This record gives sequence, C-alpha cells and structure tokens, in this order.
Amino acid sequence: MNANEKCRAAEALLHENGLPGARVRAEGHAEEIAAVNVPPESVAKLAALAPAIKALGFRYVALDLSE
Amino acid sequence: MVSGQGTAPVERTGRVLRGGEPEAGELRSTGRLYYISCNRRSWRARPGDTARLVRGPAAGYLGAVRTVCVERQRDESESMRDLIGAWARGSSLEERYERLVELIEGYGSVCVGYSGGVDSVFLAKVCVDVLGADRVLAVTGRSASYPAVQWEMALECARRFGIPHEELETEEQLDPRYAANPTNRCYYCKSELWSKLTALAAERGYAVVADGSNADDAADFRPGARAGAEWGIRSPLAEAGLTKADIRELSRRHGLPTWDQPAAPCLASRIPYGLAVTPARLQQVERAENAIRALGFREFRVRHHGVAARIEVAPSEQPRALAMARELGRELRSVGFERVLLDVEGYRRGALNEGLPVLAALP
Repeated sequence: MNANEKCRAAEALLHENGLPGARVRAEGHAEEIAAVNVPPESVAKLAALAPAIKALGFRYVALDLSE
Repeated sequence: MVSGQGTAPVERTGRVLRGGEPEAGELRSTGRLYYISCNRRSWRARPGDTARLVRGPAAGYLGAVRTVCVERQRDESESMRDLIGAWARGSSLEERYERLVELIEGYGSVCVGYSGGVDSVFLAKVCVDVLGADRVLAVTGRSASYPAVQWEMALECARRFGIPHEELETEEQLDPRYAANPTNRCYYCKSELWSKLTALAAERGYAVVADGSNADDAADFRPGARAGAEWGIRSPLAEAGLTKADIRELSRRHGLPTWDQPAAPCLASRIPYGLAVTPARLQQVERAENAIRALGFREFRVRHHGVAARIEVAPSEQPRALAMARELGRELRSVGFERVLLDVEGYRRGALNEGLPVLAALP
C-alpha cells in the first residue's frame, strides 16, 4: 500500500471502531507516522487501536497537534 | 564471575571439543577481537569455541580460583547476556555491589567515560570511593549531540562529590558514516570517543578506561558496545551484573541526585535512522526539549522526523500533555517544526529501533 492507501485504510478502521470523524495523514520523512485528528477525549480509544493501525504499515501512531 | 577482558597469564590455549565445561585441547593461536570470561559454574561452551585457561589476578576479580576464558567471534553479545543474567538472578544487590568494588580495586587507576547520567555518575563516585580521587579521572566527551542540561548535571556531581573531571571535544559529526545516521551510528560515535579517551588515559598513566554500561544494556540493541570492545573499554557495572534498577537504588543510598533522573541518551538518538544528523537538527531537538521541560514535563523525548516533531511523553504525564496540547504545539512550532504530533503510545526506550529489519548491521 502507498501512503494514501494506508491513510484511507486507517480512517476506515477508526470509523468502524467508534471514531467516525477521525482523519489520518502520513507524516515523517518516510511517511511512517499515522497522524490522526480526533478529539482529546477519544485518545484512549485511539491508543487501543494503535496496534491495528501499525499493522497497516505505519511505525508510529500519533495525535496531530498541528491544527 | 563475569569479565569483559582479563589480564591474567594464559596457562593453556585450546579449542573446546565438546559442549559444557570448556576444555583446553588442541593448541592454536587465538587472534581474538572480543571475548567473555566466566568461572566454571556458569559457562556452557560450544564445540569450536577457543578457550584460554588462566590463573592469577583475573581469578581475583572474577571471584574464582580458576578461570576459563572463552573467545568467540560471533554471538558474543548473546553469550554475555546469558552470563550476566545468570549472575544477576542468582545474587543479591549487596553481592553485586561487592563485585563492583572488587573489579574497581583490580583496576588500580581508571579513566571513566562520564556523561553525567545515572550510570556514569554512580560509577565515577564509586571509583573515587574505592581508589581515591588521585587515581580517577572522569571525562566527558562533548559535541553537538551532547545536551547542555546533561553537562550541567555532570559538572554539579563532579563538584559535589570530589570527582576529578575534564571535558574532551569529540567530532563524530565530521565523520560522514556517522552523519548519514545508519542503524550502527553509535558505533562511529563511540569509536571517536574511545579513540580519544584511551589516548588521553595512556598519556596520563591510567590503567583502565571504563564506561557506565549496565547489565540491562546488554539486552538492548547497542552497536556502540562493539566500539567499546574494540578499544578495550571495561564495563564494570555490567560485569558486576548491576541493572539500571540496582544502580538507581545504590545511587539513592549514596545520596546521588541522579538516582531518579530520567535516562538521557545523546540528542542524535531523537533522529530516525536514515535521516541525516546535522548540527541544525540536533539544536532544534535540544530547543524543543528545553521548551517542554520548561512546561514541567519530566520524562519525554522529541523525535525529529524532518518537518514533523513526534513527542513521546511518559504514560504518567500523558493526560497532562493532552490537556496542554495547544501549548505543546505552539512551543514546538516556535523552534521550527511545521507539524507537531503526540505519540499515543507514549515514551518508551529505543522507540526508533522499533521495526528495524536488521538489528545487527555492524561494520
């Protein structure tokens, strides 16, 4: 999967698991980070899903603080 | 029980003919680069290993009457882990500390690689206690990858505990093999440090150069340890089987302010392998971490991913990081990161080693 495909797959996974508004971007010099936009109260749920997101080909899962 | 390098006379050299207790069999030259030593109780030699039977001073610090040194060209780190682990599990903290004192006594004089971290401060303090300040020199290798906050701690501890201390400029960043940031980057950095430190120790007449590697380090991916072995650097904390937890507890008992200090590896460890280590990136990481420290966070890392910063915060501080997300973002953008990310899994040691396809890419 390329970075875009990985992001779409991660978003689908998050949407199916109770995070309907989640958005994912690939960040890092090797696009190895899944940068996720979710509300702060959903971070625990995001952390629980981190292994599944990494299984899509990301090395790290992070909350995007940029916006 | 365990040693990285002995100086005892060799009685016989031979090849191990079968597993179990090493035997001195067919004589042959050794030509070793690395070896590990053990007493008879703990070693399981493999057929083909080269063994040296030694007597004398090595037996003193190894705590055995007779010592068999076994040399290996490969798997030495695995074997060392087995040995240290066996000793650490079967001994008390007091016994491991006594072993450390015995090892240091055997040195006579020592030059300690001194970063100002938990391990090296403890080691330097014990060396001064055991040998006296006139037989110890703590040396800090300084370069762009060495954080200023660590230097302040190194200075403070040296002053407070009477540890003779000097700084030594290192220039690993001028080595393109280091700057390219391969998975064995630490090997080139430590090679630079140990080449200069062993030269200084020889010039000043110190018998041994030692570092603060501990028994836990033997289980981690540490290409820098290979440079230490090549330069004959001793690791008495590891050799005594002292773990990080042991060293923190002993540091507390010795009244060292470093006892609960978070681990503080060099700034280059924040840059993922394959992304070049440059003075500008190191400075950016240092400024970012200083800003986060000023917000009251204690255990964290800022990982440099090019235009993005990925913050790892200890799980206990994660709720506060979430509450201060806006401030964290603002501070890190102010030091030049376009994107600011908070890792949801939090701080963990060696995070940049995660997912490496080949962990043992050594020269």
